[in-house]
Amino acid sequence: MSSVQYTFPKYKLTNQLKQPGGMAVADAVAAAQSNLAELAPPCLIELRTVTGETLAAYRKFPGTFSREALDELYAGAARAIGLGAVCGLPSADAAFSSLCDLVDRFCIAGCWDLQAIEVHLSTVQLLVFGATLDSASAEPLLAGLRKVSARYAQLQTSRVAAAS
Amino acid sequence: MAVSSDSRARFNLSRTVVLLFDPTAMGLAILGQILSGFGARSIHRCQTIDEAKQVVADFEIDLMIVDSIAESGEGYEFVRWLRKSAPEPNRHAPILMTAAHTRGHDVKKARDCGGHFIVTKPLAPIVVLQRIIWIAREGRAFLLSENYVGPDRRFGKKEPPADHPRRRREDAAAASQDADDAPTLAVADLPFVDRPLKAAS
Repeated sequence: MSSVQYTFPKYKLTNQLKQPGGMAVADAVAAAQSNLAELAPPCLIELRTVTGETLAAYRKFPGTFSREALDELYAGAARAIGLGAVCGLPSADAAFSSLCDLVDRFCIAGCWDLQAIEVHLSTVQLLVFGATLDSASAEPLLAGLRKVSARYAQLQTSRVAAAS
Repeated sequence: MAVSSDSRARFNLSRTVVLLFDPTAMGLAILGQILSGFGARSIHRCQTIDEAKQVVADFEIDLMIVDSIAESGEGYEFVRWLRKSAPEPNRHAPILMTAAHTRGHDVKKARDCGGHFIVTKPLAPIVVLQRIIWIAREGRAFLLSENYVGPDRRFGKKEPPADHPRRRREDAAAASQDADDAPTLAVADLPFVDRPLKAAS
């Protein structure tokens, strides 16, 4: 039988946070937001670069199911998540996140639906390179992507159940 | 109740030594800008696991923010290594993990690697700050067992249901110790987090 030991480490962080001086939460959050705003231009360039690479990765997809091709697509999509929020395109983060969900489900299920991937990539392309959409305008698009991705959650579950 | 973004409560990270690990330059820059905004001055930025291991070997780290690396899950392996093999006191360091996405087969790794909390990207500064404060305040027990080293994962519910007996005798000891040792940030004019399981963005 394995034993379990409990300890209660004292974190220096706990005392450091309470030291005199420092800053107010509101000021800290504002400063962090302001610092992030400085990153907006390079972040947009990076987002467009990663999006371009993701689209290029899809164009190289073979005719039959390939785990390696999906992994490459997934890696690009995952790298893009988080960039949109910094450069004023939060909808792009949501679209890439939905694409990651979808690709991961295909990897687990061992099959793919290229149309479902294409609709995600078209949306991503529109959100990143097309006209800037506000959150309200982008929401129906994102809801559609989530619906497409959710459709394959069932497939993933049934394949995993069949394999076990 | 979680600290809100318009709170005037004060905190101090100016003396905190922070390790940031993200494999992408932009991801690292985003983390760095957030932590700089919070007043952290000593920030070690690492883009590879080897760099992070070197920093862990050379410095005493007060807070680590580690990306999981969605495509490979290597960030989880790094935290697992840290909990099992790193020298004290870094072995027990507070770790906030970030994740762009978690693959189905990495969910167990994420749960069992030994991090204190996972924040999903995109990162909102207030959420990062809430989690840092929560980790510092929380006083969770730290477990060392054959299969798991890290903070106690059973933190959502302090007490077992009223109609169930305690399942493990350690629960009673842990609860008692927890009450004695819990950090008391609240007395230092910090009306901070109780249990911010759901963060405002």
